[in-house]
Amino acid sequence: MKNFNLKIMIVLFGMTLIFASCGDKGGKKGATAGSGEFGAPRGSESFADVVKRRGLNADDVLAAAKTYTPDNISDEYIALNSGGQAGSLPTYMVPSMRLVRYPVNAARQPYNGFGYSKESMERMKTGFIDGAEILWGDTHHPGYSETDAIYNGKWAAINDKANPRIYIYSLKDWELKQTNINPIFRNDHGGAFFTPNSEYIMEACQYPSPYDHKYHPLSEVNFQKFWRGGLTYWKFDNDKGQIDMSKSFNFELPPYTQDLSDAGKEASYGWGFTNSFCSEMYYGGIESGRPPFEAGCSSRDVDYLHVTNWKKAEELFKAGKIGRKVIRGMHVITIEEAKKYGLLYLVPEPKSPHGVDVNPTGEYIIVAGKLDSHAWVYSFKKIMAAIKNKKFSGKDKFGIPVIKLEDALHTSVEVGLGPLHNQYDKTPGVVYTSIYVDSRITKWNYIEGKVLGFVPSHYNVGHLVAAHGDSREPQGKYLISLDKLSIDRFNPVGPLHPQNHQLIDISGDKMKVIYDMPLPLGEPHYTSLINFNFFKDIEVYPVGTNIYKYTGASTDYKSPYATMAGGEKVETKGNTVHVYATINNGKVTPANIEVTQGQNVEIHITNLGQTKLDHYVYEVAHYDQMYRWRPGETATLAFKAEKAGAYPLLLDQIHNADGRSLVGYLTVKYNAKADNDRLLAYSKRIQWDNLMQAFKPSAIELKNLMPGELEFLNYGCNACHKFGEDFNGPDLLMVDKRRTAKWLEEWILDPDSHFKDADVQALYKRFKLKMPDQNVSKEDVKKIINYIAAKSKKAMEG
Amino acid sequence: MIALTKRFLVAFLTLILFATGMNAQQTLDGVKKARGLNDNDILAAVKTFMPRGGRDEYFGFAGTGNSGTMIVYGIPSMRIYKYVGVFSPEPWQGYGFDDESMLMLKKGSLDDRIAKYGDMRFPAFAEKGGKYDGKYLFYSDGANSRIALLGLDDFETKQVLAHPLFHNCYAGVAVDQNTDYVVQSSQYPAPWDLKSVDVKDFKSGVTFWKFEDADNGKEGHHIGRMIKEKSFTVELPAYSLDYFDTGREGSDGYVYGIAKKDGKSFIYVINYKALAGKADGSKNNMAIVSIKASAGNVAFIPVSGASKVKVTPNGKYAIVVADETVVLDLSKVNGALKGGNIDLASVKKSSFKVGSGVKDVAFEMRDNIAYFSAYNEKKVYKFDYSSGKKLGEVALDFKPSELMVPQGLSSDPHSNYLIAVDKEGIYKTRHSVGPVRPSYQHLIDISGDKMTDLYTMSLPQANVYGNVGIKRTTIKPIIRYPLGTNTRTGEISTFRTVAGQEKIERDPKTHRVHIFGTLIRSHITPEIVEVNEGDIVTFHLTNLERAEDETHGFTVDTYGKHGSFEPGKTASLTFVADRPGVFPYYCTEFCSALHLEMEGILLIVPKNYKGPKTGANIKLTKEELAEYKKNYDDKIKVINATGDIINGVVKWLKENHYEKYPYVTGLVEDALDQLGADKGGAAKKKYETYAKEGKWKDAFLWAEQYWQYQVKTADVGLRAKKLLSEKIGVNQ
Repeated sequence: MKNFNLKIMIVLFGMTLIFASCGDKGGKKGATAGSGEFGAPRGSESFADVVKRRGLNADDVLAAAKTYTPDNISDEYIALNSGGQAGSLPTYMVPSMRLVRYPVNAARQPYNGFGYSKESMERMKTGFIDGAEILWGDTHHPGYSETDAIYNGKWAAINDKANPRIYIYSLKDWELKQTNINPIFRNDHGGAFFTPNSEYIMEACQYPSPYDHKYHPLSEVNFQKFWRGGLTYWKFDNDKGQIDMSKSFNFELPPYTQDLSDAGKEASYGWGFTNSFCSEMYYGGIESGRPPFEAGCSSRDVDYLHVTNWKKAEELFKAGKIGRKVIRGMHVITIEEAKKYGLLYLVPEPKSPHGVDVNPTGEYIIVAGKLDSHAWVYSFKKIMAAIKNKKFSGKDKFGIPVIKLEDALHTSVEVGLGPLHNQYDKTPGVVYTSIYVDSRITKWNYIEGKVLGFVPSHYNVGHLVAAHGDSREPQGKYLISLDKLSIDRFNPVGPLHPQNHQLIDISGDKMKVIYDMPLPLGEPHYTSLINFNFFKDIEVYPVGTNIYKYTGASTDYKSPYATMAGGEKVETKGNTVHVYATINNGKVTPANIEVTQGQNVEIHITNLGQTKLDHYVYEVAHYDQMYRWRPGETATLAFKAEKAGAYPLLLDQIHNADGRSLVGYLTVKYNAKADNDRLLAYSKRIQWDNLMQAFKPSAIELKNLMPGELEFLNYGCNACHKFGEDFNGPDLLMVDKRRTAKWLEEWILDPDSHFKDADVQALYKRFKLKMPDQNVSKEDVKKIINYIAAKSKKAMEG
Repeated sequence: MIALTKRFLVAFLTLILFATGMNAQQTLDGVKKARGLNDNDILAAVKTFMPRGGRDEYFGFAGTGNSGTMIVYGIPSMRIYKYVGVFSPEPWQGYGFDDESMLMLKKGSLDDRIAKYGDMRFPAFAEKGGKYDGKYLFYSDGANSRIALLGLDDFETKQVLAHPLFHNCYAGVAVDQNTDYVVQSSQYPAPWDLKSVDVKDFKSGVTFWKFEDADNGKEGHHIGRMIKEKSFTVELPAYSLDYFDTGREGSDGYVYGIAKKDGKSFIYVINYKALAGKADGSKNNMAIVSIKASAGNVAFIPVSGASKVKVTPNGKYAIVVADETVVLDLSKVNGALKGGNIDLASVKKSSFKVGSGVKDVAFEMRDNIAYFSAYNEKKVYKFDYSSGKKLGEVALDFKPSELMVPQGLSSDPHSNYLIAVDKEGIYKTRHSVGPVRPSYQHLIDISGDKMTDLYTMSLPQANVYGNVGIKRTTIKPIIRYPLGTNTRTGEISTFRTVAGQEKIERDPKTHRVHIFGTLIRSHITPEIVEVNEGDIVTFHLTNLERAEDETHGFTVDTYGKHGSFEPGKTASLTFVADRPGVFPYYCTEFCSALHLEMEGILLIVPKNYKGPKTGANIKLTKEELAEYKKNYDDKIKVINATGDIINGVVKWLKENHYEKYPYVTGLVEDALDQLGADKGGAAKKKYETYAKEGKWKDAFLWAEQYWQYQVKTADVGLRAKKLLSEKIGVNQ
């Protein structure tokens, strides 16, 4: 290996030349062929050739060696990211930074099949709020379940900011097991954070709103009277992986726009810490001359760190002394109760903070304020002393005691402009803070209050994560910088850029960026990094499993539709045809399905396969019906046989190269009434579409449309009419010759006008559909009639 | 020159580190030992590792099967750059959630709904003169019979059309050498009406979608579309159709595909340019060339066990991957077409046996060279297909199936990399979590005489089949839209809203509310909106940003809609306000230090509500007013100090000639725009006026707003400074 290093030396001397020719390294690196035409074979290259061709320096070579992970070497960590708006959780391995999975949460995901089977839809529906179909989520902060403040490798939880929900995942199969709606919030942000023994999951509200979910006119008076923030402690069962709302409680908090939280551990066990960023209780209104939220919400120099005593609250709650007020099913500890029993205190914190992070020993809490250049280190001991001695600087508007900053602060350190979040190192006293505005990571000692070093990030780092960096035993080694902007770091892929996750080697004294990873889907806000040795996952399920109920902890996961080989059958119950089918070694039984149009169909399939290759996609072509069966899984495709005809049934073994094969056909026998229902549904859809904006084709499509055709399409005439054949309604060919323009105009504008006419009644009898009123404007009706005439003429000539 | 010397010094110092060895993590030997890497691993590592913001040589686009989503990645780093919703909804980009994308999908649907997924396996690039032009990418939906077009200007889906006839398409697509037509075929035969279940009515066919591009040749704004009215379908007997390819140069105008029936396989040939305009029927508004009308221009060649057919880069031959690999002489094939069905022997140039379970073939730059994947043998072979001579092979630790060489389906394939798909993905080491595993593909170096497996890439949320690859610089993406663009049509939206023109239009008769709003760091205008229960509400929002990567997102809590607004984009979110109450809305994309404060409130007044709609504001006490005055005075000091910092940064940037570096210039312009966002000094004027009037609260808050503009200027300015420092080699 000596000669490798020797070569590096040679290369490095040669590199001054490369630097000289590499003024704008953004554009050229890695793109220039060693010799000859771009794309021509380069011949066999030595290490030195490659290093020279690709313009690598010594750090690059080291970084490459630290991250390159061939098939015979295991990655060490798995990073579970929030997916932001994507409605799934990007998950990648460290240090190779290869994406491996997107566990689902609220959005349909066909590769996983989520939202396509009856069983997964049932799981999705538990997340619908007030009956509203919500098919996406905005996930922010994942957390792993803990025992004794160390990851226990059982569960993960994450919050949904847009729709206040907490999702629970099992680390056995990394599938979604529970969706919990917070019934009093409209939105949340500061979750999901486990307490040290997973007793509770913390979820803090973000934008305040009235708990009763009722309308209250907005005014400064009402904002303070009805709008509320909050912090929910969700009771969690660490064995079953389920939240129990009846045993959970919520701290009523002032409408201060609460933000992130962290649970105390060790020294501070039993306490929780939550920060806030609009203790001004300001609301904007830029359109009516009020300064916007951003001005009003950052006008005070400090905001409030909320300190809550959940252990004591739990005792009082269990004893029935507090939390008896139930709002929309949630037990609420009122501000009055919290004050009375000393469960809630406020401490000034740097303004508009984000991260609040308890150190491994639980003795210190670090808060980073995005509009400050300091990170503030609080001493838990001091906070306790102030509480014990009732040494407060006063009370806030709601009468909550405020601890004086000096009485709580251990130290504050200038770490850079816009500190955002903190993660702890293996070395006691060492912490890493992401610096948003300055685009860098600062390494510092929070006990001594000393900055130890910086490393730049590209660009504008949000959160950061270190291996087990929020647990009692951080593992150091790797740090990931979750950069919000990637601007010039990657191949350009249009206006929407990927995020940039930079892997940083923190094993030495100096931090080194060793990998830039584009995050191609969603916008992760926060990441949790767990060592592969800390959990055990499965490869297959017991045969007949409904995976959304499978936790490995209880036995009620067996699907009532589970079917064994030989037990396949078809049963018709009422208007529903139930098919009990199996997939066995790539063969589906039964192969063909026959139904009548209008019947409901439920295809219950059990995948009898028990190896990691036995993953199948089964689908009904053209019917938008598909699911992916994991080994052992039972799942159901449930749909209405709305269209008549013959539709291929297909099977694709995902981990096999043969592609998908034809299983058989779904034959749907024509039924006139059911066909009518289908057409009515189509017509109804067009009417709803018209409530949205009118469809506007691109210039080229427009060029190919005849005058009036766009209106014809936009009013949905094509849903029922064609030229040259009857469709859902009568053939329009030459209708301009059969009817006068006046009649057509009256008819389109007001379908009731001629409905009683004998010839119209005859048509109604035949088509069984009444011409709907499409709210066509007077101007457009002329265009449509002209189009009908022109199209007829063209059809006759053509 | 100073910069150069500094760089040299840094390099030199690093050298010393190497020589003495600080700790295990600081030397290559140390890292190798610690991680168990060998010399070949290190060579593969340096061939694939992408340093410091470098650019990959190629873009790869994957066929992702039932995920319905496009994946674009870089070669050789094999990092995934983006997922883009095509046949399935994708909330991050608002795809299938905002009105514009929904309308695009609905207008392409012939059903009462939008299909929720697709099956896309073999994508194709648009071509010009047989070469990829880097403007468009096409996918066929094998599940719900649709075809899609993506614009590679902004990497968004621009068109999705339902097939009017086929119940089931082959999940691959091909274009001809000038993208006159986009070719799609049925897969398993089915009746073409929505009625018959009779096997006699089962049909197959190949559709030629007419494609038209803009003739203005404008860079970066791709508005080409498939035109259904000018497209046609050639009916074939009820065979199952499989992979197909189009001819080029001498064989342009022909398509060659695989057809199967009763265990036998054929190559079908269609001279489709001769059939354009020969339609003798139509169904569901699709022109159809019947079997009778296509006589003399369609033929079948029996080839046993055919699984792939690909036309060579020069268009002279087609390689049929089959029990025995067959090379067809296309001039002979095309010449024999008039006579009906063709005997293989009469058109075969050569045939040879490659290996066991051969799945795919790929071409490269050098003449007559083809790569074959031998699935059962875990090998990739390199052959001279002209002589049938084996030139090389590589033994792999997986079963290779689909192959891809960058530029490989064009007339100028390149010769450095080969992508081989690994469907099984059986690895002894950690490569996944839980039962659902990703797809895998390997990067193989074909540059030298010896092929070597360089990198194992995992692709989650993808059931990967085919790939296509293109030289990076052929694609010319845009970084922002002209202000107010409807990105699905490429036209300026009728709902475009510029700063200062935000408004709410209400029609009480139809309960229709249109909100014309804007987004800019860090506020949404309007911030407070009140509507009535039952109103049909649309937020039409325009992102006013001009800065690169300054995307905003938008959602109203629990109302199920989400939009992504890249710089310049206008998009709309429509919903029925059917639940009264208070609903915060906010920006979903972390956009600045005050991103969390980019919020607003939608109030929905219940039906029959009689009470007051606005309440009293809280009156300030004397003490509070005095406090605000003090705050104001303090803030003015901060404003002055921040102004000094900004001026300092601007001075430094000017002295160091930021204008020479496009990326830095972009940032500097954005920085100055942030202060410009204070429209004509509105905030400044306001706080000065309020201060004069003694309205200290308002004065203070507007001063605060002015300072927020300053902070954003400083934020971007510092980013510019950092980037420029790196470019000119100055350590900050």
